[in-house]
Amino acid sequence: MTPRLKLAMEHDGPSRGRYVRDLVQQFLKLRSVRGALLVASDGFVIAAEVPDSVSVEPLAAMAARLGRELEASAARMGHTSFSTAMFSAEDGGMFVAAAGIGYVVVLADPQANQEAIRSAVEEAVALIQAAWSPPDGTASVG
Amino acid sequence: MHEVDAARVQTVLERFLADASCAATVLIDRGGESLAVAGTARAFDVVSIAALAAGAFSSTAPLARLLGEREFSVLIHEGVKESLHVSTVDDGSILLAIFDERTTVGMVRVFAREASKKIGAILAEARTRPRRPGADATPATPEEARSALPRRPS
Repeated sequence: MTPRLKLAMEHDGPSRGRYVRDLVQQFLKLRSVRGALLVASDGFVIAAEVPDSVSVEPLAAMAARLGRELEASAARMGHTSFSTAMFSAEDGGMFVAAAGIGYVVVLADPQANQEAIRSAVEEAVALIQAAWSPPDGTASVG
Repeated sequence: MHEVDAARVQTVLERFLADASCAATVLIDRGGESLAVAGTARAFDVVSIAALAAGAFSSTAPLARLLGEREFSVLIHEGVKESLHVSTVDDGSILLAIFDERTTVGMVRVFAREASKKIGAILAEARTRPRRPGADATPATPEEARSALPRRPS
Protein backbone atom coordinates (compact mmCIF):
# COMPACT_ATOMS: atom_id res chain seq x y z
CA MET A 1 0.00 0.00 0.00
CA THR A 2 1.44 3.40 -1.01
CA PRO A 3 1.62 6.20 1.60
CA ARG A 4 -1.00 8.21 -0.35
CA LEU A 5 -3.38 5.25 -0.49
CA LYS A 6 -2.91 4.65 3.22
CA LEU A 7 -3.66 8.33 3.85
CA ALA A 8 -6.82 8.09 1.75
CA MET A 9 -8.03 5.04 3.61
CA GLU A 10 -7.67 6.96 6.84
CA HIS A 11 -9.28 10.01 5.23
CA ASP A 12 -12.12 11.45 7.24
CA GLY A 13 -11.69 15.06 6.21
CA PRO A 14 -14.34 17.72 5.97
CA SER A 15 -15.20 17.20 2.30
CA ARG A 16 -14.80 14.20 0.05
CA GLY A 17 -15.92 16.45 -2.81
CA ARG A 18 -12.93 18.70 -2.28
CA TYR A 19 -10.75 15.63 -1.96
CA VAL A 20 -11.74 14.23 -5.37
CA ARG A 21 -11.38 17.70 -6.92
CA ASP A 22 -7.83 17.81 -5.54
CA LEU A 23 -7.14 14.37 -6.99
CA VAL A 24 -8.29 15.53 -10.43
CA GLN A 25 -6.14 18.67 -10.11
CA GLN A 26 -3.09 16.54 -9.29
CA PHE A 27 -3.07 15.19 -12.85
CA LEU A 28 -2.19 18.64 -14.19
CA LYS A 29 1.16 18.38 -12.40
CA LEU A 30 2.14 15.52 -14.70
CA ARG A 31 4.10 16.59 -17.74
CA SER A 32 2.09 16.72 -21.00
CA VAL A 33 -1.27 16.25 -19.33
CA ARG A 34 -3.79 18.71 -20.78
CA GLY A 35 -6.69 18.04 -18.48
CA ALA A 36 -8.53 15.55 -16.34
CA LEU A 37 -12.04 14.90 -15.15
CA LEU A 38 -14.13 12.58 -13.05
CA VAL A 39 -17.39 11.68 -14.73
CA ALA A 40 -20.38 9.83 -13.28
CA SER A 41 -21.46 6.74 -15.21
CA ASP A 42 -24.48 8.65 -16.54
CA GLY A 43 -22.22 11.35 -18.01
CA PHE A 44 -22.61 14.05 -15.37
CA VAL A 45 -19.36 15.86 -14.56
CA ILE A 46 -18.29 15.33 -10.94
CA ALA A 47 -15.03 17.29 -11.14
CA ALA A 48 -13.13 18.73 -14.09
CA GLU A 49 -9.83 20.50 -14.75
CA VAL A 50 -9.64 21.08 -18.48
CA PRO A 51 -8.54 24.02 -20.65
CA ASP A 52 -11.21 26.44 -21.89
CA SER A 53 -10.75 25.09 -25.40
CA VAL A 54 -12.23 21.74 -24.34
CA SER A 55 -16.01 21.40 -24.11
CA VAL A 56 -16.42 19.56 -20.81
CA GLU A 57 -19.96 18.26 -21.12
CA PRO A 58 -19.68 16.58 -24.56
CA LEU A 59 -16.36 15.08 -23.47
CA ALA A 60 -17.91 13.78 -20.23
CA ALA A 61 -20.87 12.29 -22.09
CA MET A 62 -18.57 10.57 -24.59
CA ALA A 63 -16.23 9.28 -21.87
CA ALA A 64 -19.13 7.85 -19.86
CA ARG A 65 -20.49 6.16 -22.98
CA LEU A 66 -17.05 4.68 -23.72
CA GLY A 67 -16.63 3.59 -20.12
CA ARG A 68 -19.99 1.83 -20.03
CA GLU A 69 -19.26 0.17 -23.38
CA LEU A 70 -15.87 -1.03 -22.11
CA GLU A 71 -17.45 -2.42 -18.95
CA ALA A 72 -20.09 -4.23 -20.99
CA SER A 73 -17.39 -5.59 -23.32
CA ALA A 74 -15.30 -6.73 -20.36
CA ALA A 75 -18.32 -8.57 -18.96
CA ARG A 76 -18.93 -10.22 -22.35
CA MET A 77 -15.31 -11.41 -22.34
CA GLY A 78 -15.76 -12.84 -18.85
CA HIS A 79 -13.77 -10.16 -17.03
CA THR A 80 -15.21 -8.48 -13.94
CA SER A 81 -14.31 -4.99 -15.21
CA PHE A 82 -11.77 -3.07 -17.22
CA SER A 83 -9.12 -1.04 -15.43
CA THR A 84 -7.71 1.52 -17.88
CA ALA A 85 -8.26 2.09 -21.58
CA MET A 86 -6.20 4.37 -23.78
CA PHE A 87 -7.34 6.02 -26.99
CA SER A 88 -4.63 7.64 -29.06
CA ALA A 89 -4.71 10.05 -31.97
CA GLU A 90 -2.12 12.15 -33.79
CA ASP A 91 -2.75 15.16 -31.59
CA GLY A 92 -2.91 13.37 -28.25
CA GLY A 93 -4.41 10.62 -26.20
CA MET A 94 -7.19 9.96 -23.72
CA PHE A 95 -7.12 7.58 -20.77
CA VAL A 96 -10.37 6.26 -19.32
CA ALA A 97 -10.45 4.26 -16.08
CA ALA A 98 -13.34 2.85 -14.04
CA ALA A 99 -13.43 4.29 -10.51
CA GLY A 100 -16.55 2.97 -8.81
CA ILE A 101 -18.49 6.23 -8.69
CA GLY A 102 -17.70 6.88 -12.35
CA TYR A 103 -14.76 7.21 -14.70
CA VAL A 104 -11.45 9.02 -14.46
CA VAL A 105 -10.59 10.67 -17.78
CA VAL A 106 -7.16 12.14 -18.58
CA LEU A 107 -6.27 14.05 -21.74
CA ALA A 108 -2.61 14.02 -22.75
CA ASP A 109 -0.33 15.37 -25.45
CA PRO A 110 1.21 12.93 -27.97
CA GLN A 111 4.66 13.08 -26.32
CA ALA A 112 3.27 12.23 -22.86
CA ASN A 113 4.80 9.44 -20.83
CA GLN A 114 1.96 6.95 -21.11
CA GLU A 115 3.26 4.63 -18.42
CA ALA A 116 3.52 7.49 -15.90
CA ILE A 117 -0.04 8.60 -16.68
CA ARG A 118 -1.39 5.06 -16.51
CA SER A 119 0.26 4.60 -13.13
CA ALA A 120 -1.14 7.95 -11.87
CA VAL A 121 -4.61 6.99 -13.11
CA GLU A 122 -4.44 3.68 -11.27
CA GLU A 123 -3.39 5.42 -8.07
CA ALA A 124 -6.19 8.01 -8.42
CA VAL A 125 -8.74 5.22 -8.92
CA ALA A 126 -7.50 3.46 -5.78
CA LEU A 127 -7.68 6.72 -3.81
CA ILE A 128 -11.22 7.48 -5.00
CA GLN A 129 -12.40 3.98 -4.18
CA ALA A 130 -10.75 4.14 -0.76
CA ALA A 131 -12.40 7.51 -0.03
CA TRP A 132 -15.80 6.01 -0.80
CA SER A 133 -15.36 2.79 1.12
CA PRO A 134 -16.57 2.87 4.71
CA PRO A 135 -13.98 1.73 7.29
CA ASP A 136 -15.70 -1.65 7.78
CA GLY A 137 -15.39 -2.39 4.05
CA THR A 138 -19.14 -2.76 3.48
CA ALA A 139 -20.99 -1.56 0.40
CA SER A 140 -20.24 1.93 -0.90
CA VAL A 141 -22.21 4.40 -3.04
CA GLY A 142 -24.13 2.72 -5.83
CA MET B 1 -39.12 11.65 14.79
CA HIS B 2 -37.24 10.76 17.99
CA GLU B 3 -34.53 13.23 19.04
CA VAL B 4 -31.83 10.62 18.52
CA ASP B 5 -33.01 9.95 14.96
CA ALA B 6 -33.31 13.68 14.25
CA ALA B 7 -29.69 14.12 15.38
CA ARG B 8 -28.57 11.24 13.13
CA VAL B 9 -30.40 12.77 10.15
CA GLN B 10 -28.80 16.14 10.94
CA THR B 11 -25.34 14.52 10.94
CA VAL B 12 -25.99 12.97 7.52
CA LEU B 13 -27.21 16.32 6.14
CA GLU B 14 -24.14 18.14 7.51
CA ARG B 15 -21.85 15.55 5.95
CA PHE B 16 -23.69 15.75 2.62
CA LEU B 17 -23.40 19.53 2.70
CA ALA B 18 -19.64 19.41 3.28
CA ASP B 19 -18.95 16.60 0.80
CA ALA B 20 -20.98 18.05 -2.07
CA SER B 21 -20.15 21.73 -1.28
CA CYS B 22 -23.84 22.68 -1.38
CA ALA B 23 -25.12 26.00 0.00
CA ALA B 24 -27.98 24.34 1.86
CA THR B 25 -29.84 21.08 2.13
CA VAL B 26 -33.34 20.45 3.43
CA LEU B 27 -35.14 17.21 4.20
CA ILE B 28 -38.86 17.67 3.58
CA ASP B 29 -41.93 15.48 3.65
CA ARG B 30 -44.08 14.96 0.57
CA GLY B 31 -46.39 17.71 1.74
CA GLY B 32 -43.57 20.26 1.66
CA GLU B 33 -43.03 20.45 5.42
CA SER B 34 -39.39 20.90 6.44
CA LEU B 35 -38.07 18.03 8.64
CA ALA B 36 -34.40 19.02 8.92
CA VAL B 37 -32.17 21.77 7.52
CA ALA B 38 -28.42 22.20 7.15
CA GLY B 39 -26.27 24.95 5.69
CA THR B 40 -26.98 28.56 4.91
CA ALA B 41 -30.66 27.82 4.34
CA ARG B 42 -31.51 30.80 6.52
CA ALA B 43 -30.55 33.00 3.57
CA PHE B 44 -33.34 31.37 1.56
CA ASP B 45 -37.07 31.24 2.08
CA VAL B 46 -36.94 27.57 3.08
CA VAL B 47 -40.67 27.27 3.77
CA SER B 48 -41.58 28.41 0.25
CA ILE B 49 -38.76 26.45 -1.41
CA ALA B 50 -39.80 23.27 0.42
CA ALA B 51 -43.48 23.69 -0.48
CA LEU B 52 -42.80 24.53 -4.13
CA ALA B 53 -40.23 21.76 -4.55
CA ALA B 54 -42.65 19.19 -3.12
CA GLY B 55 -45.33 20.53 -5.47
CA ALA B 56 -42.97 20.38 -8.46
CA PHE B 57 -42.06 16.83 -7.53
CA SER B 58 -45.64 15.61 -7.25
CA SER B 59 -46.67 17.47 -10.42
CA THR B 60 -44.16 15.48 -12.48
CA ALA B 61 -45.56 12.15 -11.25
CA PRO B 62 -48.28 11.99 -13.98
CA LEU B 63 -45.59 12.65 -16.59
CA ALA B 64 -43.50 9.85 -15.13
CA ARG B 65 -46.49 7.50 -15.23
CA LEU B 66 -46.93 8.25 -18.95
CA LEU B 67 -43.42 6.89 -19.37
CA GLY B 68 -44.23 3.81 -17.31
CA GLU B 69 -42.47 5.09 -14.19
CA ARG B 70 -44.11 5.49 -10.78
CA GLU B 71 -42.33 8.82 -10.33
CA PHE B 72 -39.08 10.50 -11.23
CA SER B 73 -36.44 9.95 -8.57
CA VAL B 74 -34.44 13.11 -9.29
CA LEU B 75 -35.35 16.59 -10.52
CA ILE B 76 -32.74 19.22 -11.27
CA HIS B 77 -33.62 22.89 -11.67
CA GLU B 78 -30.57 24.63 -13.08
CA GLY B 79 -30.21 28.39 -12.80
CA VAL B 80 -27.48 30.79 -13.89
CA LYS B 81 -26.08 31.02 -10.36
CA GLU B 82 -28.15 28.88 -8.04
CA SER B 83 -29.52 25.43 -8.78
CA LEU B 84 -31.76 22.97 -7.01
CA HIS B 85 -31.38 19.19 -6.82
CA VAL B 86 -34.48 17.36 -5.64
CA SER B 87 -34.36 13.61 -4.99
CA THR B 88 -36.56 11.02 -3.32
CA VAL B 89 -35.48 9.50 -0.02
CA ASP B 90 -38.46 7.19 0.49
CA ASP B 91 -42.23 7.22 0.01
CA GLY B 92 -42.58 9.94 2.65
CA SER B 93 -39.65 12.28 2.21
CA ILE B 94 -37.58 14.24 -0.29
CA LEU B 95 -34.06 15.65 -0.09
CA LEU B 96 -33.43 19.16 -1.45
CA ALA B 97 -29.99 20.55 -2.18
CA ILE B 98 -29.38 24.18 -3.11
CA PHE B 99 -26.02 24.67 -4.79
CA ASP B 100 -24.08 27.11 -6.94
CA GLU B 101 -21.11 27.13 -9.32
CA ARG B 102 -18.73 26.01 -6.54
CA THR B 103 -19.82 22.43 -7.19
CA THR B 104 -21.27 20.36 -10.04
CA VAL B 105 -24.55 18.57 -10.62
CA GLY B 106 -22.60 15.32 -10.84
CA MET B 107 -20.99 15.89 -7.46
CA VAL B 108 -24.33 16.73 -5.83
CA ARG B 109 -25.96 13.67 -7.42
CA VAL B 110 -23.26 11.30 -6.16
CA PHE B 111 -23.49 12.52 -2.58
CA ALA B 112 -27.28 13.01 -2.59
CA ARG B 113 -27.68 9.35 -3.53
CA GLU B 114 -25.48 8.33 -0.62
CA ALA B 115 -27.23 10.70 1.84
CA SER B 116 -30.68 9.52 0.71
CA LYS B 117 -29.77 5.90 1.39
CA LYS B 118 -28.53 6.75 4.88
CA ILE B 119 -31.51 8.97 5.74
CA GLY B 120 -33.93 6.39 4.33
CA ALA B 121 -32.42 3.76 6.62
CA ILE B 122 -32.65 6.08 9.66
CA LEU B 123 -36.29 6.95 8.90
CA ALA B 124 -37.19 3.29 8.36
CA GLU B 125 -35.62 2.43 11.70
CA ALA B 126 -37.36 5.40 13.36
CA ARG B 127 -40.76 4.20 12.15
CA THR B 128 -40.27 0.79 13.73
CA ARG B 129 -39.07 2.25 17.04
CA PRO B 130 -41.57 2.00 19.93
CA ARG B 131 -43.15 5.41 20.55
CA ARG B 132 -42.57 7.23 23.83
CA PRO B 133 -44.84 10.22 24.48
CA GLY B 134 -42.98 13.55 24.47
CA ALA B 135 -39.73 12.14 23.04
CA ASP B 136 -40.31 13.18 19.44
CA ALA B 137 -38.41 16.12 17.94
CA THR B 138 -40.30 16.23 14.63
CA PRO B 139 -43.00 14.07 13.00
CA ALA B 140 -41.58 11.28 10.82
CA THR B 141 -44.52 11.30 8.40
CA PRO B 142 -47.23 13.77 7.28
CA GLU B 143 -49.77 11.54 9.05
CA GLU B 144 -47.83 11.94 12.30
CA ALA B 145 -47.75 15.70 11.80
CA ARG B 146 -51.53 15.82 11.28
CA SER B 147 -52.27 13.54 14.20
CA ALA B 148 -50.08 15.72 16.43
CA LEU B 149 -52.28 18.78 15.81
CA PRO B 150 -54.68 19.68 18.63
CA ARG B 151 -58.18 18.42 17.90
CA ARG B 152 -61.26 20.56 18.03
CA PRO B 153 -63.71 19.51 20.70
CA SER B 154 -66.75 18.04 18.98
